[in-house]
Amino acid sequence: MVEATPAPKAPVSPKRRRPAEFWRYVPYMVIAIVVFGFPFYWIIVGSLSSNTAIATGSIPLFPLHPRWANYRDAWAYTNFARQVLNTLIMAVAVTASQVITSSMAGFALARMRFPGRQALFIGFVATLIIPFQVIALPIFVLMANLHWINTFGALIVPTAVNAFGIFLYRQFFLTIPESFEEAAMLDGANPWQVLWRVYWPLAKPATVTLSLLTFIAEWNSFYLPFLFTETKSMYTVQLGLVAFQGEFATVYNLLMAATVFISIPVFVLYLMGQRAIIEGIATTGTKG
Amino acid sequence: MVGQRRLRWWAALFLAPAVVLTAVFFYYPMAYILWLSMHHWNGLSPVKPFTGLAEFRHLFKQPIFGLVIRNTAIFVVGTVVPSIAIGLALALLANRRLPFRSFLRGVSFAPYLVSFVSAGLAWVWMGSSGGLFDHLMGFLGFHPGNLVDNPSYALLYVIAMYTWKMAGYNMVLYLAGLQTIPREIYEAGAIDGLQDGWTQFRTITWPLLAESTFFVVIINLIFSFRAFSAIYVMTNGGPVNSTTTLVYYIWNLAFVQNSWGQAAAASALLLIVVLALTVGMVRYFTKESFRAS
Amino acid sequence: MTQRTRWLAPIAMASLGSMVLAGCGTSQTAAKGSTGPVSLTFEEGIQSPQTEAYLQKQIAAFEKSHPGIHISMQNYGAADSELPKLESSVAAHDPPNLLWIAPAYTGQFASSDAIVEAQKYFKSTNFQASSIFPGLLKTGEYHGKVWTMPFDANDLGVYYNKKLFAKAGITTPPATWTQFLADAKKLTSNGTYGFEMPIGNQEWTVWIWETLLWQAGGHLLNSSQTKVAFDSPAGIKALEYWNTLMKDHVATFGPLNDSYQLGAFESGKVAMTINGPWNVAALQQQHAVSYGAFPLPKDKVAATNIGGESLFIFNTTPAQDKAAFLFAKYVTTPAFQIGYDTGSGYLPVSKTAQDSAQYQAYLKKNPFINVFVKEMAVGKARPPIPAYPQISADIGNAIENTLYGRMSAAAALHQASVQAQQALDASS
Repeated sequence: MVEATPAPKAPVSPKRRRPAEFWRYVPYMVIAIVVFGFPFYWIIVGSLSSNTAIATGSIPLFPLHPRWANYRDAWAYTNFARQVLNTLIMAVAVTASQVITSSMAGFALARMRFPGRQALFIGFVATLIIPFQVIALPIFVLMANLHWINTFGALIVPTAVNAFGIFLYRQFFLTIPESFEEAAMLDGANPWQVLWRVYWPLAKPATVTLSLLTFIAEWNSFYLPFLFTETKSMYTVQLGLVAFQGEFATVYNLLMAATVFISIPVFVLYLMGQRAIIEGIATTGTKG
Repeated sequence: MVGQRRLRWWAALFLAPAVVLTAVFFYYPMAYILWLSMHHWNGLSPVKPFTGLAEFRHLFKQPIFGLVIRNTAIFVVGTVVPSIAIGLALALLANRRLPFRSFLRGVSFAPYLVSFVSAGLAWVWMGSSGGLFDHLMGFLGFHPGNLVDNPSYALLYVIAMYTWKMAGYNMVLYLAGLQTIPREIYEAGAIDGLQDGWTQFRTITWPLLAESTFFVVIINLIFSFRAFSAIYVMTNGGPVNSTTTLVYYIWNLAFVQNSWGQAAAASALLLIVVLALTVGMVRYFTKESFRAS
Repeated sequence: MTQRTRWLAPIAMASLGSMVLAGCGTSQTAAKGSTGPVSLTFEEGIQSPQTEAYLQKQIAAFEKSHPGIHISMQNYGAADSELPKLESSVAAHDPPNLLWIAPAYTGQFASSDAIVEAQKYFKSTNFQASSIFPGLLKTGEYHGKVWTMPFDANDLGVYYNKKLFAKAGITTPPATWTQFLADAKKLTSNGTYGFEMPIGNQEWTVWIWETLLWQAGGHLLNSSQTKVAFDSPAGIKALEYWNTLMKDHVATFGPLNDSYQLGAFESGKVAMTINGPWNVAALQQQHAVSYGAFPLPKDKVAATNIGGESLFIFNTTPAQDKAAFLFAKYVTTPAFQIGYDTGSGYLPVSKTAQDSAQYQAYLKKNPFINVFVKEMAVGKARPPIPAYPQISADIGNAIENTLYGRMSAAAALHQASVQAQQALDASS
């Protein structure tokens, strides 16, 4: 009996079996796509609905009379332009800082021999498991003593280093053959030049991944700016959204419109750097 | 060439920014939290008298402390288990050569990309009375009304939102794990008579994913313990404190009740739990023969 | 290694450092000298852009009449749920010279020496404290002295939907708890509720509930402010009254912790809701509901809760402190008050402003506001003691526990009073 069926029945299915397999899995596909995708569709429908439809809960499945004015109103009601600018400053500065500090540390950990190297590496990586909320209170006190509350300093400096980035660059630099370094050294370059002229350009995939993930994380970050800012002029986009909810909690059409335009940059970045983002997560796991 | 001694100076230079920042923003705060947990402070006063373990005692005596621990346990288990299970199921599905599989991947990963604030607000609306879920459950003859305002459903609802957001992320991690499994192993298994999908999954896929699972579990535990924004935006820890988890409670103790000593004690507690979980997990997974031979 | 590259590293480090530090630590550059021009920072949380614009204009007028003083205004934009953090954050960094916030925080800031006692300037600046409503001045007292200066006032009343009242055949608004319950029943029909119940354990809910405590004859604290007193028959009666409204299904919960929002009232889903005079502009802009207001119904006595904001003067230099007081004094003048109040719906802090012909004419045109003005006569205020925020949080938990059916009113209030007493003892 067993010998009679030599053909393997494995995920590698021969072409002729595709229709059967397809019909077997199509219900699951549909369920998954509806469960994960429908809320997005519904948010957009909600953002285009009229006040009456929202108040009475009678929202049509298809927005036949989309109210685009909701977007204009939501934008006008808050100072989103300022908040976008603040968020950009924060996100760009944090991203640049993390790229610089991580590539330097990652390079030293991957390519230089010195006592305590392993311990230092573990010391960095261990910080990944510490919830920010645990250390937030001391950092708040520290920021207050430095008079940094409500300044960009508090938004940028505490997150200027990230063990994820160090890990990412270390792994990447480990894969680069030593001959590159030796050749550069023979040309009279010092380690600083070797890093920035030889290694860093080669690590472009790591830089792209770290930059994208960091930027998205900063764009979406809430707790840190929530604690460290005070006046509206320093709000980031996520804080603006929460403040918007504080004023218009049940005006869901405007709230959803604001939610949509706040999320657009993240999706644009994702579509631009899909591979880098997915690979970054898949190979190193976290970005918190 | 650079000498060995000089190389050490270079290493120190390269490491300096990361070491200084990590020390100031991770290790010093951890030490400070432990120190502060043994002092009484209202967040304003210039003096912080030493109180020994009194802050911990006061914390344990709070009428809602038991509830907070219970909520935290339910939230962590309730988010980690389903989001991993669903993530794995999605990965198995998306790993097959089916049409639209990249669309499936994109759609189920999309929730991870939006912020917890945005997702939380959207779910508040969908869970409001007369909202999407109210309507859907109405078809089943059940009218829960406003889900976030109901102490019986609020925590479950936040968990559902969190699971929706994290499952796609776990899918990505598992897809990476699945791609490391050589197809020949399935072929060999099929020859050994392991033909139906479930047996194949149980005897080949799952054991070979042990390393991924280990990693996924730890990452998800860490994420779930630190969940704050979703709860802040959706429920403010209410109603009747039914969604107040340890992290939310820390913020409440410090900034609402001005009990910084107790907030530090609660932070120290969370730190210990997270560390113990990680260490325990590492031990467990290395001791048992989870890895495929 | 060449000489050139030896220089590179420190320069790169320095540029990294400066990039990281860019934008740090330059939050306050107020002139700290005691002579010459004085710059003041002023943080406020006014929601309406028109009101903020008026304030900006008034600041310009103040600067003109007080040469040498410059005020820069910033909005902290806090909703109720963010206020607690604001207070920590304000106390923690260089505070503004002037902060616009509820006077309930007076005790907390005064006891930690963060703010300056306002009363010490009364004589030297020739400020007539008697021009301010005495009840309002009391909201900013700590240890018998006035620490914070009233900026604007408000209180609570009931909004009602005139059309729904007519439909239910109610001609005169309810004046007592009993009538209120009966009318709420008449107003409840398919999909419409008589009353919107504030819910959540934050200040908004507690602020409203305190009026019922007082109406039933109860008190928050004993007269020497050493013991909490809300765990009393009056307290239990007040909480059970709300519970009855819920149990009889004549009331529905408002948005959790955001019950001050008017969504349900403006869409006609609830016929009555408790709120303040400041929404007048928003109500005039909507056309869905014809609205009116009436005083909170009474039980043993009539009572409302006095709210509003005061100016807190933070300890900086003597020159700045005094300049800040001068602005706080300017705010109490009729000229400022009339313009501010007729634009915003807030109530005047001084009798002179209230009695002015201009304001009286405004009241004639706005009977809605007049309801709240008249109610001030029975207004009480929260005690501005340091422990108030914690006591309020404890009461908030008791309200939630009762209305969600987790505990009896008596048990919930008892648990809250034990907690509140601890907070009170710890703060004194």
